[in-house]
Amino acid sequence: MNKFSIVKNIAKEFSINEYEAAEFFDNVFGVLISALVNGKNVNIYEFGKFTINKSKIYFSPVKRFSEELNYNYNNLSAVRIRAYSDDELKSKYDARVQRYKDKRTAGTEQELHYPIPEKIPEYLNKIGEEITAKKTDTGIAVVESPDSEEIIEKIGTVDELIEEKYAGEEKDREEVTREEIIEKDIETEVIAEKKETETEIKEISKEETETPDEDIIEEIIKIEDEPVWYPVTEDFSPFDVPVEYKSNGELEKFFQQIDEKEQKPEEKKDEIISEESVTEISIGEDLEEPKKWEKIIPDFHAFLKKRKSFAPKEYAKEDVIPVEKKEEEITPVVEKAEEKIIPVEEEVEEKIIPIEEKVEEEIIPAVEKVEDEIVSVEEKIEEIPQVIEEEKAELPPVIQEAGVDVPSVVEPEIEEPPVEKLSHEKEIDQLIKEREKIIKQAEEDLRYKLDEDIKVVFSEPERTDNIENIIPVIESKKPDINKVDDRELDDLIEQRLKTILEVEEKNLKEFDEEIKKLDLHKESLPPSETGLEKTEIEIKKETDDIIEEKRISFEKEILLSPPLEITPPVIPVTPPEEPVMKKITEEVKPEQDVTIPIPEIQKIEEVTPPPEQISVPEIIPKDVSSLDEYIPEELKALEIEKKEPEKSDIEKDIENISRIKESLIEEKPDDFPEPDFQIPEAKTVEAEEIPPPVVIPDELKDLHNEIIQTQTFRQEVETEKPEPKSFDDVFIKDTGIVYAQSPIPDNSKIENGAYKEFDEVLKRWEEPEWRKSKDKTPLSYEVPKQGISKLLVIFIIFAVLAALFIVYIKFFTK
Amino acid sequence: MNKESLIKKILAKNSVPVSKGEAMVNRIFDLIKNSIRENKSFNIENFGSFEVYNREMQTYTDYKKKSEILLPPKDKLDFIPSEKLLAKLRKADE
Repeated sequence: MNKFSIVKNIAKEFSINEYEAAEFFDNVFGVLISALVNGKNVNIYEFGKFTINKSKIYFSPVKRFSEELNYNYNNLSAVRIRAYSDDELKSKYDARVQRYKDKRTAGTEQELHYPIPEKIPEYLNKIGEEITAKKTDTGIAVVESPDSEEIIEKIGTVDELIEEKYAGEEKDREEVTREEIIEKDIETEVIAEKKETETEIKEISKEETETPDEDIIEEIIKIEDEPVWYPVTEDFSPFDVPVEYKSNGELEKFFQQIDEKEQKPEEKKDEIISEESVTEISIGEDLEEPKKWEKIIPDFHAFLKKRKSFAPKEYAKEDVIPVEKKEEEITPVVEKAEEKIIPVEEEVEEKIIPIEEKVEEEIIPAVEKVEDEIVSVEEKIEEIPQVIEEEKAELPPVIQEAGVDVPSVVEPEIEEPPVEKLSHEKEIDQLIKEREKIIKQAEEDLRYKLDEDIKVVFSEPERTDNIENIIPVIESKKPDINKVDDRELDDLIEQRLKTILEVEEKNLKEFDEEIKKLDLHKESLPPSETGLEKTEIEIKKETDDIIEEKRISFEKEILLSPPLEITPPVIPVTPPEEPVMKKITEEVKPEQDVTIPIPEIQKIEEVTPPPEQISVPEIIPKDVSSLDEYIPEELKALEIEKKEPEKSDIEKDIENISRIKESLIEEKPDDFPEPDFQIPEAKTVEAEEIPPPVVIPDELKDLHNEIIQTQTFRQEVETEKPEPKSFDDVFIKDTGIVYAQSPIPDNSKIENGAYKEFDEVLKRWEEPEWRKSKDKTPLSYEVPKQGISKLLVIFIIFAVLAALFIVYIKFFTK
Repeated sequence: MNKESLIKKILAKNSVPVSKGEAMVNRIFDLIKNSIRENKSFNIENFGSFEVYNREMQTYTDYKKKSEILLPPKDKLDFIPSEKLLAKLRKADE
C-alpha cells in the first residue's frame, strides 16, 4: 500500500476529492515534520512515539502494535544458559571494559579528520590547516598543530593487526571479529595463570613428601579435597562500579575489597562469643565521640519529666558493680536488683532524703525511749499480783463455828471510795492506754489492708451497658459442668424421684378414701331416693309436656285457620261496606264487653281433627306413682320408641349404678357399719297440683273446648306481647283501632318505605286537630278527576256542534 | 505533542470540520498500520520509512544474576528517517 492507495481510500470513505485527500495527507506529515524539526517529541495515540535526540529520530511503537508484528515469537521468553563464577565474571567484565575502550580508541588508529568550522579563534589554528588527533589511553584526542614536533606515529590499521594475529591460522579474516580476538587473548592469559598455580601446588606437595609431617599432610589433603568456594556477593552491575575503579589498575582493588567484606562475617561466625568478653567491653569508652542514642537520652528524660512519669535512674559508673563479683552471691543480688529496678523520680528522692534524715535524728531515739519505758512498766505490772498475794496473806482468816446454822446474810456491796493514785501509777496507766491504742490502730490497719486485699481479689469488672463486659462475669459465675461429680447427680435424681413417688402415693390414698366414702354414701341411701323413682317422675313429666304440646298445637291449628263469617249473637254489628275499620276504645274491656266470635259447630268439625285421636285424660290423680294407668297405651308405645334410641350417657350411668346397687344390697351383710357423717335428706319431688276433674256433658263439650281454646289463645297473647313492629300492632296499641280485614304487613315492606303513608299518619296522629278532622270525616273523598274530563268532552262536543251549525248556516244559506 | 494538538494544527490549514478531520487522521494511521502488517514496510515521501526487521536470537551476560542469558528472536519495527528530514534536523541543530 502506497500513499496513493491511502488517499483513494480516504476519498471514498469521507466523500472527498482525491486532491483534497492528498492535500490533507501531506498536511498531516508536514505538521509532524515541523514539530520534529522544532525539537518536539510527537506521541500519536494507538500508533507510536517519535523521539528526537541530537538530530536523530527514534520510533517506539505501541505495545499492542509491536506484539501484533511479533506474533511469531510472542510465546518465547528469555532463558538462562550458563552461570558464571566470580573469576569468570571478572574476566568477562574486564573484556567488556577493554572492548569499550577499544571502541573509543579505535578512531585513534585511523586518522580522524574533523571538519573545520568557519569561525575559530586565531590562536587555535589557522583557516585551512589540517588537524590530526594523537593516540591516547583515555580516548580523548589532543589537538595539536602540525607544526609541533609530536606528530602522529602510525601504529597500523585494525586489518593489519588482525592479519598479524592470525597469520598462521587458516581462518578467513572476515569471519573473525574483534570480540573473538580479545576473548582468546584473555583465555590464554587465564590458562597461563592456572598452570602457574598448579605447578606451585605440585612443587609444594613434592617438598612436603620429603618432610612427611602428619599435620601438614592433613592440611594438604584438606586443600585438595575442599570444593571450590564461591563467595555469595551482593548483586552488582557494571554500572554500580565507581568511576575511580574503572581504570585498569584500580579495578582489582575494588574486587579485593568486596572479597574482604564477604569473608569477614564468616570469620566472626566461627568465633565463640564469651560472656566475659562482652561484659568487659564498654563501647562508650572505646569510642571518643558519643553515639546517637547517647545524645538522645537526656532529651528523652526531659520529655518524661514533662509527662510526670518515672524516668529510669541514671547510675554513675562508680556505682556499677562488675558482674564477676555478683555471680558469687546470686540471691542477694537479685533482691538488690529488684529494689533498684523500681524507678523513682529525682524530685521525689530529693524530698525523701531530708525526711529520712529527720527520722534518723529525732524519731528513732524517741521511739527507743518509749520502748524502754514500756519494758519497765511491764516489769512493774508483773510484780503487782505478787504484792496482792502478800497483802492477802497478812489478812486474818474467817472462822465459822461448827454445828450452828448461821443464816446466810448477803452483805451489801459497798462501793469503795476512789483511791488516790500516785504519779508513777498514773504514768503507767497512761502508757498502758497508749499501748492499747497503738495495738488497736495496728489491728485496724491490718484489717483495712485485708479488706482492701479481699476487695481486690474479689473485685468484679466494671459493669457497663456493654455486653462484652457482662458476658465474662456471667460465664465466671456459671458452674463448670465438667467439675460436677456423677455421684452428686445420682443423688439429686434419687431425691427427685422420691419426692415424686411420695406425692403420687398421697394422691392415690386420697382418691381411694373418696371412693370408699362415695360407696358408703350410696349404700346408705334408701331405695326410694335413688334414680329409679326419679326416672318414673321424669317420664311422667315428659308425658304431660307432650300432651300439653299436642293440645296447644291443636288449638293453634284451629285459630290459624282462615277467618270465618261472624254472626254476633248478642250485639248487632253493622257489616262493613267499604274497607272496614272497627273501633275499640281503650275504655272497653275486652274480657267483659267484647263478645268473642264463636265459629259454627259444623265448620269447626270439618277443620278440627277427630277428638278420638288425642285422648286427653279426664281425671288426673294426685298419686304420681300410679300414673302409668292413666297414660294411654299409644303414648307409652311412642315414649318407648323414642326413649330407647335416645338414651343419653347420664341415663346409662344411672342404670349401671342401679344395677351395681342392687348387687350390693344383695351382698350387704347385716352388721354393716353405718357411716359417721350425716347424709343430706333427699328432696322429694312433689307432683303438680292438678285441678279436680269437672264432668261436662256431651252436648257442651264442643263449646267447652272452644272456650278453652280462646282462653289459651288470649293467655298466649297476653304472655307473649311482642313488641309492636308491624303497622297493625302499633296502630292497635296507640289508637285502639283494629282493621276488620287488615292485611298481614311485612316488616320488610315497612323498612323499604312501602308503608310511608301509614308512617305519616302515625306521626300526625298525635296532633289533636288533625285527629278530630279525621274522626269527623274518616271516609271523605274528593271529587274524582273523571268529572272534569267529562265536562271537557261535553264542552268540546258542544263547540263542534256550534261550529257545524255556523258552517251549515254559511254554506247552505247562500 | 499529542494527537489532539496535531489535529488542531492540521485543521487550521484545511477547511474540514473537526469531527471529520479527527476521523480522517485516525483512518490514515490505521491504514498505515495495516500496510506495515501486510507488507512489513511503508514509505512516506520526505518523511521516512517504517520497516520490520527480524532480530536473531542472541546471548548477553547478566552481571547481577551472574549468568548468560539467551534471548529469543524478535520482529522489530524500525523507522528510518528520510535524508531530507535529517537535513532539516541538522539545520535546526545548527
